[in-house]
Amino acid sequence: MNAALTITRPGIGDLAILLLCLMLIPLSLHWLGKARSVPDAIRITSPDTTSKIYSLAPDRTLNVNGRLGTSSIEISNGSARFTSSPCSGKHCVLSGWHSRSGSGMACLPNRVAMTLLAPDDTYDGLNY
Amino acid sequence: MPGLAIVLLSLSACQSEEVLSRQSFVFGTLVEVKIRTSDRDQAIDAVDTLFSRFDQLHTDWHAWKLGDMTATSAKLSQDEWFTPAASITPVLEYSQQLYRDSRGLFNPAMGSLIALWGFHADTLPDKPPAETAIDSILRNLPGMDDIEFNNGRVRGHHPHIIIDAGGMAKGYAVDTGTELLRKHGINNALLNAGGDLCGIGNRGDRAWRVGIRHPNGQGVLASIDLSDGECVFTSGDYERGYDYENRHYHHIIDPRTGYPANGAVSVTVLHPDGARADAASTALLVAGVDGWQDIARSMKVDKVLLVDHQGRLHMTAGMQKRVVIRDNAAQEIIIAPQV
Repeated sequence: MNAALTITRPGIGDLAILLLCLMLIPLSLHWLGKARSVPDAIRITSPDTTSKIYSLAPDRTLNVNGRLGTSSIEISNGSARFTSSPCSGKHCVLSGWHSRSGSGMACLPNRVAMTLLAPDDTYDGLNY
Repeated sequence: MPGLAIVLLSLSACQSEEVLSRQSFVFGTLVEVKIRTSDRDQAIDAVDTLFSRFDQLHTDWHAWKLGDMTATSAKLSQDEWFTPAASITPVLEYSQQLYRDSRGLFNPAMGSLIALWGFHADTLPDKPPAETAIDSILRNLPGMDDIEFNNGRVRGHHPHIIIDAGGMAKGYAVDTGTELLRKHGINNALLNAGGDLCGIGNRGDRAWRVGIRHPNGQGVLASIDLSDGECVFTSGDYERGYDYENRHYHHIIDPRTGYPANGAVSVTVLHPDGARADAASTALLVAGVDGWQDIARSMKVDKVLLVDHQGRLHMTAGMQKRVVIRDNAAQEIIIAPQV
């Protein structure tokens, strides 16, 4: 038995569903973009190793050996901060918590830097 | 079928490409290079050469640690013709051009004033210098017009010239770096020298996208997609400095007053010439809200974004077309269409 292919004119309900789908596309892209900007990892650069990427979970403190001594980076609730560093100015410690993708801080005298990373970074680089 | 073959070939090429990211502490800052490449070895070789070159330039151009630039400064004060090291003369010549274009607001010859403020040291001072000491230097401040050039030889006509090319050196180095990467066959890369960036080509799926950090430290102010060869540089009063009696003293000194510039919070410049973008962001920060448009015209930069102390954004029409401002990032946006 051959199945007959019949084409009918779309009804109001079909058009409404199509319209709804079209409206959902930009909304989905917006949600997707937001989800991507949430960092889930931290990249730490130090003079004695190549850059390493650590997960932002679980909460913990990482001790990183630098040129002058040990810098401590605390990870908590998806954010990170320097809690101590052997440099004189302590700018890295004073900068506080960093929670955005691409955000980060370097202790230049100790040659230790951290950058927060999202699964697909919103920005390829930060200008400041 | 030919159409299908082209699509399959493109997919194959895409699958073999990757964005390689390498970081290193060079040129006194953290430098990151991202390269979109299908030849990992070629990219790594190019980046290693770049980092090595930056290390050398950092030593050559250092304003206060012994090297070619400090040797040049010492000879410039002696009023005699001499031939500087090869890496120095082009920097001096271009610095003089940028000094003139900025009407003296970008002045690499006033290293003595920068040193007086304590910025020629790894450890910053506890308090600013005495007013009398600032006035003393300001009364007879050297400028780049005190340097004469003749076929690769130079001569200084001021006893107190100390060259501090910090206001354009990173830009000049990044220009050198992008040229080096291109010579190594790199056609798609993003070079980030401590927050100042230049792009080559694109990321593949889109242009290299740069976020401009809000000067208040809270997230991102705006974003810019870089065209091939474009650079974005920002100078701000939140950069290197120290606090004394509840005031912040930063390292961008106004040559007219002898004190840190206070006419704006930050200035961002987008331009294909990294050295010009670097020097212009410095000069326009010094010019401040009242004078930035005139200096932007004389420095031939038409894509400028300035943040004032009230949180308002001032920008050229050229920048307005390129920048994407984040929601709620600014109190007010003022366009300067005549620049």
